[in-house]
Amino acid sequence: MINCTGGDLLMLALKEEEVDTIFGYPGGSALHIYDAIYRQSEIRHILVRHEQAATHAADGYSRSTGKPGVVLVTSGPGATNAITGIATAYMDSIPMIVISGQVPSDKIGEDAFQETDMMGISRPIVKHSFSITDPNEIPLIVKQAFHIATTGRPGPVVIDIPKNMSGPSASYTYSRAQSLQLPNYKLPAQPTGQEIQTALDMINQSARPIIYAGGGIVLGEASEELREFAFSTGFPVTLTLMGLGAFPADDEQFIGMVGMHGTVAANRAMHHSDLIIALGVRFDDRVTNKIEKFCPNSKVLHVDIDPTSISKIIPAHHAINSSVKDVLTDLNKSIQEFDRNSMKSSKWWQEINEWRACYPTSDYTSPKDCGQRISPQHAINAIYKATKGDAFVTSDVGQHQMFAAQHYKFHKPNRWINSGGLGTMGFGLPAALGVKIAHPDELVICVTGEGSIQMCIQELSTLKQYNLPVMIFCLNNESLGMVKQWQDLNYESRYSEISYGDSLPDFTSLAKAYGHEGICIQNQSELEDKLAEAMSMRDKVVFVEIQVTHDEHVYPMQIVPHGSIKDIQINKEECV
Amino acid sequence: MKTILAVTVENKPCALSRVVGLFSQRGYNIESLSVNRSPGKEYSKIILITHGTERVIEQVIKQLEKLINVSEVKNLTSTIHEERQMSLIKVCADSLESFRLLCSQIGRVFHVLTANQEQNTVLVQVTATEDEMQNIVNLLGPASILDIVSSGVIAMDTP
Repeated sequence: MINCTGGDLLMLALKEEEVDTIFGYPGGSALHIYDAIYRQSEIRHILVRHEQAATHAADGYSRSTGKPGVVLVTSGPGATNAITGIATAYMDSIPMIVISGQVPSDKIGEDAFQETDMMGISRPIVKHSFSITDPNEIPLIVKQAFHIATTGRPGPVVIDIPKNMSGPSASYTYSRAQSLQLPNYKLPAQPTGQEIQTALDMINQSARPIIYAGGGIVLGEASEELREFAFSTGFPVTLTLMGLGAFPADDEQFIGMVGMHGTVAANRAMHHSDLIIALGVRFDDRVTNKIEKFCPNSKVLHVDIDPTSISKIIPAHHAINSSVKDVLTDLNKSIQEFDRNSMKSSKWWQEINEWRACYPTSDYTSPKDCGQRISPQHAINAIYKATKGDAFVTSDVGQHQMFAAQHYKFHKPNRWINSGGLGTMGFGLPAALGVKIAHPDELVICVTGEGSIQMCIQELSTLKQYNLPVMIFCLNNESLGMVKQWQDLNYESRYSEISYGDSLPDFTSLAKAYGHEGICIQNQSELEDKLAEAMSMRDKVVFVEIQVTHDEHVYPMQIVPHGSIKDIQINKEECV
Repeated sequence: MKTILAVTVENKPCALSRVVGLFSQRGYNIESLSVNRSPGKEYSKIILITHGTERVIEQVIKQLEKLINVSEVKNLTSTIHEERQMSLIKVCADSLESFRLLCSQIGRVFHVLTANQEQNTVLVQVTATEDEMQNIVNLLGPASILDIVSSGVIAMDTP
């Protein structure tokens, strides 16, 4: 194409990367780019109500599809508002392209209107960033940005575009970037035969193995390979918060989530194992608890695409720095003759099954005698049943997030969408928006709390504008529940700044004010009927407020900060 | 463990700040830093000194290698290498004669850049290893040093 502006070059380059949707918000420095958007029809732009929501929506789009989400914001406040969402994506290794407008090149450094140093501010939370100095570079830089964002350990990439680089003052001819020209970008190699053999030797010598798998399986699209590996070996499987869905939750080899709010069985199995097969995980502090007490008799076989994740927290006895999909594929070829049945009848499995029987998750989900109010665990279980366990579930951050992780059983990858690493309240609703854009015919629900939902509640308006019928389940306990829990446990119940008095909005009326449906569930007796009523309105946004008990804690819970992975409080009275 | 790293980075905007920022971001420290463009001007060479346990150094190197603009990271401490630091020192001596005597006792070549006979001050240039430099400063004595400016350490593995 000839006679292009820089903005046109950008749109053409994005089309080259098969972008179908941009989440964004216009402003002065991005106006030339928005003009280019106006003059084309292939890429859809979703106008959010706040730039933070643009990044979370792009993030939800990415997590549910595996494709990079694309964000467009203006300079200054547009860029800084995007920062929380970029950091969220960075911590969870989500591929994302963030295009930020910038003041014209000759104004940079002069404290011009809406100027901020986006390259500097975003530097610690991006995989890489580019600043455009010549419009002719745009096709190449876009190609490089997508390659970097989506390969290796994925992550967000920022492209900062000064206004004079996207404008009509000169015209350019679009020519497709041919080669990447990234001579110093390193991607991990294929696993070697020796690396695989050493891993097999460790597997063969182990009597008490455990598969500890995480977000890397989801990002690396290795769920099938994980399932085959688990099936061939008969080994118990635990997943991290980020890995939920990477292995079917109803499989008998799945022993629950690991970590701070994981199951007793999973955490004990980690502790008492002699081999941890760590696949696409990073030994996060919310998994390990006290490092010095971590799994004293376990050897660690660590597979990760990112060399810096290996031996960062827990030294690996054998590490394979390759894609987890490639490693599992190679292992699966050699593991066929493994004696799965003797593993399944081993003393190790007997022990694990005893732990499972002693501390079943149903202890938490069964309806409790708590007057009329609903227990949040019971609510999640009811939502799971009402949605037939087949929804895309986004969540916010706090108790409801952990209850959802514990009690909504995920059977497929890419279905559980939450901010695990950064723990960003306000993530859930815009993320659901992005998921619904990518999967218009699927059921998309957002599990949230009355605290988190108010951090990005303005996106109810965006849902209306684009007719995106997501279902919102807001567990309302009238306080910041997770903070309250920690104040109960560590500050003798001195509740500092965790309640809103009587100022909570009437969520049903609020939903209606935005043009949506609102349902409020107050009694345990009406829970199932009202959830069914909500589910009957699949073509609308339904805001379901569920009034839950006020004093619930999330259990099981590791004893922090001095406990080991297996030191766990199972309710308000008992530690095991 | 003191470690000297030679980091080759593409001469691109933000490349240096990505390297330096990595250290503060991840709680590592930089004790000495020296940067210059390579002859071809496409790359810059950064020589830096950091401290840490073996595991921390391993992480530092892996994190640096992960930066997209970094082409090579060499741990010079683990190889035979030469290192030098240059200082410019303004010294006040009782007399220039006594300063020359002191210089010969220290046993290093001091290149006298300028000398002020009336005030008995000299500006000298000296090149030494980091440890030797500390020794020289001690021998001159803090009382006689009016001002000192030192470069970052530069280093190279031996052929």
